[in-house]
Amino acid sequence: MKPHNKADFIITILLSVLVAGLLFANANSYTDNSAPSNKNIATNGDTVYLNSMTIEQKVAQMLIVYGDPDKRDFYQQSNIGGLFLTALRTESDFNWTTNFMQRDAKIPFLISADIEGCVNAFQNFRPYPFFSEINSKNDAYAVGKAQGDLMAKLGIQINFSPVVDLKDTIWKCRSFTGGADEIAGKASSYISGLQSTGTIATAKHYPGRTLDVKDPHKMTTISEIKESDLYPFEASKNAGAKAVMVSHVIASGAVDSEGRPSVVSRSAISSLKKDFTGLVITDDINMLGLKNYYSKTGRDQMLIDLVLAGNDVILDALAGTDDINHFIKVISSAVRRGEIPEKHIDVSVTKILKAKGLKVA
Amino acid sequence: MATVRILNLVLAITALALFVNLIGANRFTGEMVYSLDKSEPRCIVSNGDEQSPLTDLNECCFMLQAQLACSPYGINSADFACSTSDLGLKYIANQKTISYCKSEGYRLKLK
Repeated sequence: MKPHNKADFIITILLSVLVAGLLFANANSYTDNSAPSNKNIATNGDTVYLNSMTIEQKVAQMLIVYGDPDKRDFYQQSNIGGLFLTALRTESDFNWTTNFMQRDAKIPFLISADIEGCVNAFQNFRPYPFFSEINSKNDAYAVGKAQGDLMAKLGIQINFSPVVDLKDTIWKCRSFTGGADEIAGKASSYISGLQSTGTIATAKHYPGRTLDVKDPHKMTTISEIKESDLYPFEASKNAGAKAVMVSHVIASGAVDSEGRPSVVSRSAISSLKKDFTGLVITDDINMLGLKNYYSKTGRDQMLIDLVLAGNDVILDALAGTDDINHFIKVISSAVRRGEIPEKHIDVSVTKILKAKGLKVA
Repeated sequence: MATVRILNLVLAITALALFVNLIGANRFTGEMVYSLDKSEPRCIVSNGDEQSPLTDLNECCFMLQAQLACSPYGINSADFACSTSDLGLKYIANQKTISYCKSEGYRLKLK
């Protein structure tokens, strides 16, 4: 064999091995055997037996991910807790999507969307006044009720709204106007209106000061929280808000997140939970404010810290199937190692199942 | 001899196609364009006459993904405007930002 013939032959072998390896990797990316199955979860009518669920199945309930209809079977098999829907063209598109997603689900998804005012997934067919345009508590109640009615009709159980930050210097329309008292009053009325329809309200973004213009060179925002920032959250809790969303702001002052983003701070979330037993939900975990904080320790530690800090629901609007499997694997392993108590997971999952209108035994 | 070389070429193209499929075509093109584009990423929230920068790029991508559609925008159409309705907010992002969002795996509805 001539030398160049020999070289061509070696290249053929190497390329064949590479193609075989890539074929194998592609095949595995579609059939991840580590994905938990939704089988063997014991239910009886609307009662779910928590003891029948594996750690993986319980951990998966803590995730809300972007609701991609193409991945419905995967979400159902993985026992994912909830889905986040973004804008669609028409009411019937939303109806079709929620029906399609829920069909045959062993445990129904908690389906969520953002309808505030100027951030509105239904804007194409149902615009609402911006929060900055709402002038009275009565108007706030009416807007909340109208949004809740529509969401209930379309099969969406939780609205990531209202924003109760005192200031919005970026969008300039997501917060109610006025002083802390007025904002608290409008937020409470909005929550009462929304929840009168059975739709869950989410006061956000705890502990406040999240919608301020950030220093472009420092993605991690450090904010001095005052008592007045917390007042609308207290009012929201008193109004019966069933969920609160926690931000990535590093807080000092009236809430001290001890140098960490609030969403991974046990101290900050403990302050919130002192007089609140509803769902604690993370803001989207892909934002740079959080990611940059974990640039050295890595994403796995971030996921563990999110659970340990006391969040019940992790919102990951970017998660693909691999990310979902990875989250379940990382948290389940931490539970098996004893790093996260299983009781901690059980408390969160019980809250999530009850938010879906299910009974837990 | 020529047959072996053609076989090698076919294998190389197959390997590339499998690699792109594995990491996702959108992410692949996004990463390529992002690394080649030397401009600064830019994302603006436009509320009527008021415009503000959204400096957390991932927050920008999250908002872009939440919109109904993104269309070319501006004089040379190098930017994209993403919105859900003409009555609502508009997010204006340059190509560098769009490439970044794609490379991160966000699902943008580009027209």
